[in-house]
Formats: sequence, C-alpha cells, structure tokens
Amino acid sequence: MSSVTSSTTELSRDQLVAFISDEYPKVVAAVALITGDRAGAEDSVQDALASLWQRRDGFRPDNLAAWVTVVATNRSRSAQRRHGAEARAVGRLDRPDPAVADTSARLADADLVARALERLPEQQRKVAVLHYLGDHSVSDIAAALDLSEGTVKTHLSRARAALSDALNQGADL
Amino acid sequence: MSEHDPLDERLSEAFKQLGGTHSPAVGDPQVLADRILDRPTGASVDGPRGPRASGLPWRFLAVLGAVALAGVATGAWAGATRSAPASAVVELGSVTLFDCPGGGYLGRLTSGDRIVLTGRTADSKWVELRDPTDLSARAWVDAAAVEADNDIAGLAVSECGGTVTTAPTSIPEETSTTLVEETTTLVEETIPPSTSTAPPPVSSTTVPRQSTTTAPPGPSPTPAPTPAPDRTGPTLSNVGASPNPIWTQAQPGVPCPPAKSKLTTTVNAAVSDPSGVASVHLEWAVNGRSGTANMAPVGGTWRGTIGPFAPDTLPTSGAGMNQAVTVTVRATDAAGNTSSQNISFELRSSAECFG
Repeated sequence: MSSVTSSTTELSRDQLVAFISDEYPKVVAAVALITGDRAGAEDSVQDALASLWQRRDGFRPDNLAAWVTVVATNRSRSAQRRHGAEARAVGRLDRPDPAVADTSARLADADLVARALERLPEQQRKVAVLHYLGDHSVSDIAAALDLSEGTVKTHLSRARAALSDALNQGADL
Repeated sequence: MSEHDPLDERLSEAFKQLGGTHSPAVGDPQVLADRILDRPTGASVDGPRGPRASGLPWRFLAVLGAVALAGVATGAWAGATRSAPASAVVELGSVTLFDCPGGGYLGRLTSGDRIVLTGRTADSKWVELRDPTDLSARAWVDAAAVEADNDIAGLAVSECGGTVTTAPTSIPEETSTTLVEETTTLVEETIPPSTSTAPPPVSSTTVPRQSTTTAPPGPSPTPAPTPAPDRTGPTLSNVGASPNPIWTQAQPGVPCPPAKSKLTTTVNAAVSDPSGVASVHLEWAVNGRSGTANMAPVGGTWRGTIGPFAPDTLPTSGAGMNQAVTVTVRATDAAGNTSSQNISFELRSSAECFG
C-alpha cells in the first residue's frame, strides 16, 4: 500500500505556506494528542515538513496532512523513547483546566475524550485522532498508516466504543 | 458509521475542542515556512530523527543558507562566508546565551542545538551567533561550549553590538581588495530578482563593516539609485491554493466522506507594489468552464475562494474525473500596472465516492 503519487513536481514554498495557513495547527494538535507531547509535536511536524520539502525525488503523499501527522508522530515517538520521556510527556498533555472549565457539555466532553485517548492503544488513538480531528477518510488513514482499510475500520470501531464509554461514564458522574 | 450519528457528531465536537487547545499559534506563515525550509534534516524522511535538541519554543537550528544569502545580497560578505565557519553545534549539556561576552543573560541553548556563528572576540574565547530568540539580533556564548564546523579563527572579530572590527583573516582576495566603508545588510527574506522594481528587502540587522587591508582600489561604490517611475506591475509571491485537491459537489444520493467533501479552495497570494496594490482578482478554467473571483487582503495576504463546482463539471468516469484547474492571479497597482502569476490545483469528481 503506497501513498506515493506519480507526480515528480517538487513541492514549492507556496504550497508549504498554504499548508501552514490551512493545515499546520490541526496537524500539530493531532500529533500532540497522539503522543501526549505538545512541545515535541510542533518540533516533529516541522521536522517532517522540512524533510519532505527537501526531497528531490518527486515523492508526494496523496494526503499531505495525514502523512505529516503519521511521520511526525513516529518521529516524536522515537525521540521520546530515546529520552525516556514518554511517561512524563503523557502527564503534560494539556486538558481543559477543570478549575476554570465551565460546566458546558462541550468542554466536559473534550476533557473526557482527552483522558480516554490516553488509555487507548497507540493505533486506536492514531486512527481516532486522524478521523475525528484530522477529518480523514478510512482509505486515507489506511494509506498513511500502511494498513488495510479493514484494519483501520476495526481500530476506529474499537476506539469509538471506548470513547463512547468514556462519554457515557462521564455523564453518569 | 454515519456522518450524522449523534455519537460521531459529539466526538467530532470534542476533538474540535481538543484541537483548539493543542493548536499552536502560527504567526506569519511566511516566516514559519522559511524556518522550516532552512531547517537542516540529516535523517531520511521516514527514518529516525537526529539527536533531539531542546523542546524549547525558541529552539534554533542552523540557517547557513540565510547567512550565505546575506552575503550574496551585499557582495562583500559572500566571500567571507565561503571560508568562515558559519555554524556550530552546542556541545555541552546546557549553554548560557549572553547579550555580550560576560554580559547579560539572554537564555539557554541545549546540547545538540545548531547555531549560526557570525563572529568572535579577538581572543576567540567567545563566539557571536544569531540570537535564536530573535533572528535579527546577536548573542554570545562561550566558545568552549560549542563545536564549530570549521576553525573559529576564520570568523570575523566582532564587538558586542554587532560591529565587526577586524575582517576575517581568511577573507578572500576579491573581498579584501576593497577599501571602502560599507554596510552589510543581513536579510531574512528572499532577495528579489535584480530586474525587480520592488523596494529592497527589509533589513533586520545592519552591521557596519570596514576592511582593514590595504589593496588596490576596487570599483567605486554604486550610488544610491534614483527612484524610477513605477511602470511595472505588483510583485506576486507565495501564490498557492489550499486545500488541494478539492471535489465537485456530491452526486445526488451519493454523499462523500468528510475527507472528500472539500468543495472550495482558497487562493492565497502575497502582493506588493511601491505604488500600492489597487486590486487583485483570479481567473480560473477547467474542462471548458471558466470564472473569476475577487481577492481581498486578509492579514497581509490576498485571498480568494474558488468553488464549489457543480457535479457535472467533470466526467463521472474515465481519465477526465481528475483535472487541473488553472488559475491566474492578476494584480493591479495604483499606477494601473498589472502583473499575474499562474498556478493550478486538482479538481476531482465526487463520483469517486461510488467506490
């Protein structure tokens, strides 16, 4: 399964500016949610973008945002492993501050989802974030993660069930 | 999983909230793009990353190209940067940045950070670098704390404040033969073509510099050009369309998933002109259809929207399902001069969603 197109046109600076304007904040947020490392997320996303834009072999992912999210996540994970920081990073994951959080359902849901995400297996978390935050289709997620669409659907279904449980339990509190 | 499932909608809303919480402030996309493009990446795109530097928000990476670019802009510094060491890696675990040798505290660098060196003290105990927190400023670190790519003796001797008092000993002959007081302007931006009538790039730091060598006189300094009447159109740059691709409107009864429901694209363009930009509009064409749209200034960038496209804009099968939309961005300045730039983006048929 390949996410490479046949285009040999090099990516331009204009395309990078457009990506930064339209996709960059959401991609950084997605990586931060998956890895639990907000500071490292932006660094990894920039690293992935720099590497891609410096390539001269015509490689262009079909879905740039999904591809950058996955590559940056992998890079962030590698860095975390090297630094043994994963456990600490998860604890740094920003959530809506309960002290100032209002009682609105939306913020409450976000908090519950953030907590539930931390407990999800890595692949489920990736798929859920790519789908619900990145707004990527199953086929695009499958291509970016190099998985079959069936596998992605399974991960998404399980993640959805776990997140649903979290929301329901939160509602019972 | 229906798009209208209440649970999915609730989850999407929750993720949207989380996305907002975790989204960084981008600032100027142009500046960030430059930083990304200047970022050295030793690892392959999918491979493990190199030694991780600090996670500090102002983590700085070498911008060797920018320094070289600055030299090209002036003609004088170019020779020096060819032989002078221009970058170094922080060697110690943590290094303090000072505003001057032994001066005030500015911040810290972490082992592995790559920096751009711009000078040294006469005794080579301190090196001057581009301040990672403000690329237009200068900072100093203990020379023993960094590992330069080349011998730092090749760096110009500099004083706190940015004035170079002694030219590098290794400065090439073609540079050292000039005996003029010149101003070296370090630019952070792309240098416009020599034929451009656009104003010179904004200088971020000006470093008075005087050669100390005696040599045969070189060519006379070029006098400041007299402003000519504006007879050229605006300068267009960073023209792009995003998202790309987009899809035609959904076929009746065949909704597309969210990822294939992008129906419009935004065309961005940076437009500048000494006389002022009067208007910018875009013209598009695809598969025998065409149209125009006005662009409006938004935060320093001109923006216009194209789309949505009717379902029958493209064939629903065959090779014509995906086609390039050609776009001409046309700008007019206050003097009535026009200029344009062409780009394209991909339009896909929503008939894809059958599959």
